[in-house]
Amino acid sequence: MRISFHLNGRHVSINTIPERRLADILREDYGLVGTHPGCYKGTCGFCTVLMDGNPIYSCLLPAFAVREKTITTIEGFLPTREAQEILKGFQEAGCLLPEYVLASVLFPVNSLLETTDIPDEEDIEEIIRYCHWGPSRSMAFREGIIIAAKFRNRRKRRGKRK
Amino acid sequence: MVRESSHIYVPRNLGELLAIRKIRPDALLFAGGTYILKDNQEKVPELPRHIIYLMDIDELKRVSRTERYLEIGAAVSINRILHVGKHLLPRALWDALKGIGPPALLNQATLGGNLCVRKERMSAYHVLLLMDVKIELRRTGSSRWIPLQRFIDLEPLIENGEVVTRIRIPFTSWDFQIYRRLQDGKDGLTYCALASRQKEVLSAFTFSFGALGPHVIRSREVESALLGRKLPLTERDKQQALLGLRQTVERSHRDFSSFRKDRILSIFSSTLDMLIPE
Ligand SMILES: Cc1cc2nc3c(=O)[nH]c(=O)nc-3n(C[C@H](O)[C@H](O)[C@H](O)COP(=O)(O)OP(=O)(O)OC[C@H]3O[C@@H](n4cnc5c(N)ncnc54)[C@H](O)[C@@H]3O)c2cc1C
Ligand code: FES
Repeated sequence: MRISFHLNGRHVSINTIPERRLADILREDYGLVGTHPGCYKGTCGFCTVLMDGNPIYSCLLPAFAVREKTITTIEGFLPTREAQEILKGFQEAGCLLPEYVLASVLFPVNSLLETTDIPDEEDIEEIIRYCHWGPSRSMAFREGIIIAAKFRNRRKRRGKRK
Repeated sequence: MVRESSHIYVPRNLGELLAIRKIRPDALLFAGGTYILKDNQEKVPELPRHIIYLMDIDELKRVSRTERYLEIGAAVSINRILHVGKHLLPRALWDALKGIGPPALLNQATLGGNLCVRKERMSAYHVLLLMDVKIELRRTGSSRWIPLQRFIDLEPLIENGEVVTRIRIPFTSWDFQIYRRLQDGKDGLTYCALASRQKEVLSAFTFSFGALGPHVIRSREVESALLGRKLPLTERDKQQALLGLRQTVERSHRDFSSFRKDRILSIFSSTLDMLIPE
């Protein structure tokens, strides 16, 4: 089946078995190995990508469901200022994120910061509850989210002033 | 042996969907796919020969409301329903939907998919059952609305050529709502209780327990025995209600472990204690 979609800002087209999982297509056909499928059943989150701007698990998405959608992988997201703000937040908090957890941390945190200026305990707890990276239980991880929110707000305020 | 791939139908509107469904009543309806793929860990999932993909149909992705009810298209994602807001969604439903999983899962999972799982009762079911929710079933040339309870009891669930298109949730002013989810493997339980109080009187009350698989525990006798009772309930009212529930569980769920039975009674007992005048 021929499937066309937008991938990290490019229009792409691929001939593939329609049931194939997007996670595998990204890694095997496009070399986007920042998507790290671990469980293939929707629990680890390491395969998270954005579809039309919303985080989804690419292991649970067959190729036929991607037609004409806009997919952003961690490789496409990292260069954005949103991603850089979050990374800087974690860095300042002393929480260094290994490469394999980036998709499972950056996308949910970004979604949170898009809807909330000041994340509360409940918001942060939700991110941690579903994060399958051990150190996400640390204080530094929590701090990282709070500092990232500050960077985001600062930029938004600057944007408004202009 | 090379496996043949599935044939995928991607209808763009309801008319197309019903026409395809008519000629392919055996095809698998694929909404978010999160239940279908949940326990399918093959590298390339083996799916039925014919699949109808539902997520490109605008009519199934609408949310609307009137003064009396909220109407949700079968292919609306759970996350979008949550965005309708805590102030509009009944609190117990909000808690049930939120508890399904992380936003990434809820962006894919749909309410229609949740209610159409046959083998087990999923999270939204237990709450919506108590809210007198109705389900719209469509096929070419006809449409019918049926209560959720009847929908689940239907065998087969959906008749040839039918599709669930909308879910209608009435706005009832429950002023007491509880949803709990206790996960302990095979002894796991979900629990929902809804009540309305008028001054010091219990004017409406309904509850259900759900256990792994298709089990649903309800007792209409207990519910109606409590109606019209003065609040807070007397010790006698509480003991009678507990006895009624114990008998229901013993009668229809003998195979439950005593741990699970005790848990059901203790959760219910604390609800009865919480029912105090507004
Ligand atoms: C890690 C993980 C955890 C989960 N935890 C929970 C949980 O705690 N609680 C819970 O309730 N669920 C849970 N689920 C299951 C699932 O995510 C939800 O039940 C979801 O709401 C199903 O919706 P869907 O759109 O993905 O359904 P699908 O998987 O697309 O479909 C489910 C079933 O419904 C049928 N169907 C779908 N739409 C229609 C329609 N319009 N008309 C007729 N039939 C239809 C399909 O043919 C299929 O049989 C979990 C899943 C995963 C992967
Ligand atoms: S691979 Fe674990 S959620 Fe997708």
